[in-house]
Amino acid sequence: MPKDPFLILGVSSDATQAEIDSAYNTLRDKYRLDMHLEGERGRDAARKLTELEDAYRRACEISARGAVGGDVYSQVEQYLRENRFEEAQTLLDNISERNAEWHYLQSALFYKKGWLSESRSQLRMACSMDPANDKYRKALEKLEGRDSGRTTSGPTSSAGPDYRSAGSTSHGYHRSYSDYESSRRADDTACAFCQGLICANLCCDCCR
Amino acid sequence: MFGYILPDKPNMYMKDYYFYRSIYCGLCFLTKKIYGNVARIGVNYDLVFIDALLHGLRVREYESEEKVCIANPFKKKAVLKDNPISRKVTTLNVLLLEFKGKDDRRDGVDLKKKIAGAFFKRKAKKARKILPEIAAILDKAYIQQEEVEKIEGVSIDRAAHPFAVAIADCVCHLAEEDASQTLWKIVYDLGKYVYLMDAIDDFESDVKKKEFNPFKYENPECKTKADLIEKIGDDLWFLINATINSIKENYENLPVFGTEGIITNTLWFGLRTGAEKIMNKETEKCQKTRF
Repeated sequence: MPKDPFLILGVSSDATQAEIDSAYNTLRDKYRLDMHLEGERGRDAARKLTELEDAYRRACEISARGAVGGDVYSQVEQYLRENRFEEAQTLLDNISERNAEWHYLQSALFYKKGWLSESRSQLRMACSMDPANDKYRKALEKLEGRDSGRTTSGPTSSAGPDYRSAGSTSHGYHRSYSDYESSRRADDTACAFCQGLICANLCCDCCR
Repeated sequence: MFGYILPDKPNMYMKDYYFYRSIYCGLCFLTKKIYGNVARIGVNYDLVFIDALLHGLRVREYESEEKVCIANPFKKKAVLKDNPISRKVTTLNVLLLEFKGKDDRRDGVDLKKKIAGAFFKRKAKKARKILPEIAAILDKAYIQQEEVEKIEGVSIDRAAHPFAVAIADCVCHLAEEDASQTLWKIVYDLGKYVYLMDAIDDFESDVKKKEFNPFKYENPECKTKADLIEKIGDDLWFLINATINSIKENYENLPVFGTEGIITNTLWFGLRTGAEKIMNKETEKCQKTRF
C-alpha cells in the first residue's frame, strides 16, 4: 500500500495547495542535490525523488477534491432546501469520502424524509467523528429533544398545545382533545358538580 | 391494516364515542351490502379512523339512521348512512386485506390466516374493478415490500417505507381535491406507526416461525418481546414519540371539521396509550393515562 503522500511531503493532511507546493519544492531541490552523491546515497535520493513526484501528484489531487467537496455539499444542501431528495441522495452516494459533514447531511436528508431512526444514527456518527462541532451536537439534542417533548414515556408535565378555537365546530362548548389535557387541571371545582350529572346520566343510559 | 390506530375510549366525550361507533357500524353494514356478510369480519378500527379523516376534510353534514344488528338484536344503533366516502373506504379495506393476505402467505403462516387470505382474494376481484388505482398502488407496494425484506439488517425506517408510502398514496387518492402534502405526511407517519407497532407486537412469533421482522438481525439474542424492549426500548420509544410528534405537528395544518374530536382523541391520546400497551413488559392488560 502506497505511503501517505502528506507524510512523504512532511505536511498535515489538510494543508493548503501553497503549503504542499512549498514542501515539494524544498524536498525536490534537496533530493536533486543529493542525487549527485556517490554510491547508495545517490541512488537513495533518486528513488526518493520519484516517490516525491508521485506523492506530490496524489496530494494535489486529494487537496483539489477537498475543495470540490465543499461545492458538492452546498449542492446537497440546495437540493434539501428544495426537497429534491433523490438528487440529494445520488450526490451523497457518489462522494467516497464520508466525513462528519457527510453524515450530518445524510442525517438531514433522512430527517426530511421522515426516517427519524436513521437520521438519529447518522447524526450520532457525525457527532462521534467531530465531537467539538457545535452544529452537530445541537442538532442531535434538538432531534432527541423532540422525543422528550410532549409525549415521553416517563413522568412529564405536559400542557397540550392550544387548538384552534371552539368556533370551528357548531357546538360552542366543544374543544378538541389537544387542550383537553390542560383543561383537566384548570377546572377542578366546576367538574365536581358536572361529574355528578354525568354519572347520573350514565346510569340512566345503562338502564335504557 | 392491523388495528393499531385506536381512540382512547375512557378519555372520549360521549358525543364523539357515539359518533365513532356510528361510523364503525356504518362501515360494517356497508361491507355487508357490497361484499357480503362474511366480509364484515375484516372491518377494523384503523378503517374507522381513515373514514373519519376523509369525512372531516370535506363533509359538513352527517346523517345516521337507526338499525338493528346481530350483535345485539334488542337495541337499535345509530348507523352512518351509505355515502360515497364510506363506500370507497370499504373497498380500500378489502384491498388492504388482500395485501395482508398475500404478505402472510409469502411468510408461510397458519391455516386460519391462509383461509382468510384466500377469502379476501376472491372479494378483492370485485374491489379491484371499483378502485383500480388503489389496487395498482398496493400491488407496487407489495413488490417493494418483498425487495426490502430481502435486505439483511434493514433499518426499521427503510422497512416501513413501502407500506407507509402505499397507505399515504391510497388515502390521498381517496381524498381527491382535499389531498395535500400535509395529509400525505400525516398518513405516512401513521402507516409507519402501524408498521412499527406490528413489528414489535409480532417479534416473538416472527422469531419462532422464522418470519421476517426488522428487529431480528441486529438483535439475534432477543427471543421474546420483553428481551427486545429491554435491549432497545429507548430507541423504540424515540421513534414512537418522534413519529407521534410529527403527526401532531402536521395535523395543526390540516383543516378538519366535524370529526376532529375523534381524530384529535386518537392522535393525542390513542396512539400513545396504544404504544404503551404494546411496549408494556408485564402481561397484565393495564392502561395508564398520563397528562
